[in-house]
Amino acid sequence: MKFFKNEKNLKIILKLLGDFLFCLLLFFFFAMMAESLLPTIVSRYISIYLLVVVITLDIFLISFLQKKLEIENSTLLNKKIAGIALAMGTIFILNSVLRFGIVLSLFLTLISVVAIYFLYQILEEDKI
Amino acid sequence: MLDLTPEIKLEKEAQKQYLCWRNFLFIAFFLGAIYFVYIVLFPTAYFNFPFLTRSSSNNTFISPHKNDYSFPLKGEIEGKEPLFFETTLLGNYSEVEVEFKFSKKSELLEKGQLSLRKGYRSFFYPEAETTETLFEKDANGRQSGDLVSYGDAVYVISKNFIHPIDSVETFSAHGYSWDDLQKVSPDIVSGYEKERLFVLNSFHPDGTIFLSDSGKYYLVDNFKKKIISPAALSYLPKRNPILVSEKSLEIEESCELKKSRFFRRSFFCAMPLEKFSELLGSDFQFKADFEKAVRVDEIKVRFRREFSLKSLKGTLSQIIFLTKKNYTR
Repeated sequence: MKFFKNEKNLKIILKLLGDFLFCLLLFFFFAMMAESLLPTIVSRYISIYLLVVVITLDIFLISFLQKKLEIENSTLLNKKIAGIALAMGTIFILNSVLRFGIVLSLFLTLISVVAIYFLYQILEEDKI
Repeated sequence: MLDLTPEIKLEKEAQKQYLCWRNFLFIAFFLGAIYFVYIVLFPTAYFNFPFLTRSSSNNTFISPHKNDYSFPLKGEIEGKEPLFFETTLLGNYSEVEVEFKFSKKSELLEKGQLSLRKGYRSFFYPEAETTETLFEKDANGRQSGDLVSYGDAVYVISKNFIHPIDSVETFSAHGYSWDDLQKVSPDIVSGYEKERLFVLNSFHPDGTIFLSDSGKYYLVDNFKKKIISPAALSYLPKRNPILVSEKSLEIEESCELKKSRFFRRSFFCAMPLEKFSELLGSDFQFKADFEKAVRVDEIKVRFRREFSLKSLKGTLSQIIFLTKKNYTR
């Protein structure tokens, strides 16, 4: 189709997909937060799996269009997203182990966060 | 302005187009989020019963029945014969809407009425003659209606059978008291035939004792409730009776069935639930009078919460209670 061959249109779509991903992640964060506090409060109405599928599709589309338009990822944004994801993960891990007592919970969370950080560093090294 | 993709540069005209679409996306997302919060805070409870797929696991309805508790096969109701059906629901709802879908083979209604009561399903059993005899103790020294526990499992005894109770909500919703739990050995549990789970919409078993707010004692026995004679009161089991509201039998709400504007074979009716807020029990019993022979394909029931501060407070306090319970378990 002519519309999708126009580079200007593709750039607009790519930017919109990025915004859409931001909205989805924001919703996903609050949904997971609510769901971890009170199971089924969100999943009763919306399938979390479906949300993950939509997010994955959005990421695939973004990566496909980036390749097509030969645009590189913004490393600044990647670092920001990684930071937000780590903060989210820390909260979720802490919440899930909270019933083991506060000291053990903090210890388990710390160990998990350190492990995730090193894993991230290894992945970054592999890229180089 | 927040730009999530600064590496993608657009020309002035394209930038304008993009901003327009972006605003649309954010407004749609914002409205969607508000709608989602609304349905979480003011939820609607759905129940349905398709007569042709009676045993489907998707049926969220208590089996409809005639006056004699028999099931109306294929949804066929004889003229002037009422149809009863019940739903069990926890939480405060403000309105209920019921929809009947009639079969193509059925005559359509000219007039029909639906009435509603709230209480315990077994307390709606027809009243039988006064009884002077109660259930006797069995070989294990227990009586029908007794609550026993082994480990984390809680059971209710019904004659020779034992039903595992599925949740704390079911236990509380049936009006049972934790003080009445008798800890037993596994030998006692295995002395009874294990029956299906006792769930939120289960009937109280035979041997259950009800005490109404007017001071009358009733015994549940074989789909009937018998008034216990004063002479037999001294033989009552040691457990607490289940408290019931005598007004459950009197307070009724009713509405006229009206034809749907869009579907020729659908009839609707809505009722407020305000009257029932103080009554004990969480079962709603519907009674439909169609005044002629009909064939019902499906019944749908929707309980709604009104958009009000009172309703919001109710939902929030329930969310806080369940969250606390989730963390203290």
